[in-house]
Amino acid sequence: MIIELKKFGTTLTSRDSGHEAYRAMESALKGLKEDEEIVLNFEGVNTFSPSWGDEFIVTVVNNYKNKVILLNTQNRSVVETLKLLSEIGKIDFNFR
Amino acid sequence: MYNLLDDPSLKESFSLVTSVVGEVGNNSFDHNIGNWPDAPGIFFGINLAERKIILADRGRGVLATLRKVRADLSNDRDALVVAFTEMVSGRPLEARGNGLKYVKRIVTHYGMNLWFQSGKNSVTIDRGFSGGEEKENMRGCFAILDYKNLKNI
Repeated sequence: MIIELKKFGTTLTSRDSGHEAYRAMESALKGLKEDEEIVLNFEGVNTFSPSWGDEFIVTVVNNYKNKVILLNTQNRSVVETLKLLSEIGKIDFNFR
Repeated sequence: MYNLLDDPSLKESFSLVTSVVGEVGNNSFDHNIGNWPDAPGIFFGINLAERKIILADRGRGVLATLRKVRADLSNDRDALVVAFTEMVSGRPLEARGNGLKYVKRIVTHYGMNLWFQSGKNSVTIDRGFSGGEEKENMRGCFAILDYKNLKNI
């Protein structure tokens, strides 16, 4: 399953919108097949911050662990936010 | 409409400015929802020539917000230090509290300057972190982000 994060907006900073984004995806995620991975594609995201990331990315990773792959994470705010979330949550993100 | 993306000098790092502003601005709403003392919402202003962004709200402020989880806090100065340096949130039972730590890290690392007042005290974040007492008590929070020395690392 590929989730294009830009479909939730190109400025992903609000905790509320991160929470809503996860809720919107929840039913689709529950239908994930046993061997299916979840690719979170950051292409087209202009701004990303810990509040949105904590509600969406961290929740997805906590629930689906190693099935989650992060793609196109070069944007500076994406890099810095993932670094902070990784340190705080002691999470090893999988990048492709 | 001005777009930060159109400024070549901000090409690599504009997202850091907007993410810092997003975190500070969101806090105003997250910590005051249902509790605004008078005027809800925030003031947002930007001076493109001086490369400064102002954010202000008339919410409960940092001390009142953090006292819900840190009853030992007794003044604005200590509350500001905790807000920017400790992993603690004013919304108990929720795994929050990383936003202002992110703000401090990005401002410090990328050459910006943030002045942030709540109550009678302020903090300044640049390459260091310092606090000061203000003449006027500020209801809520008042922040000025200066990004003219933003580094395109």
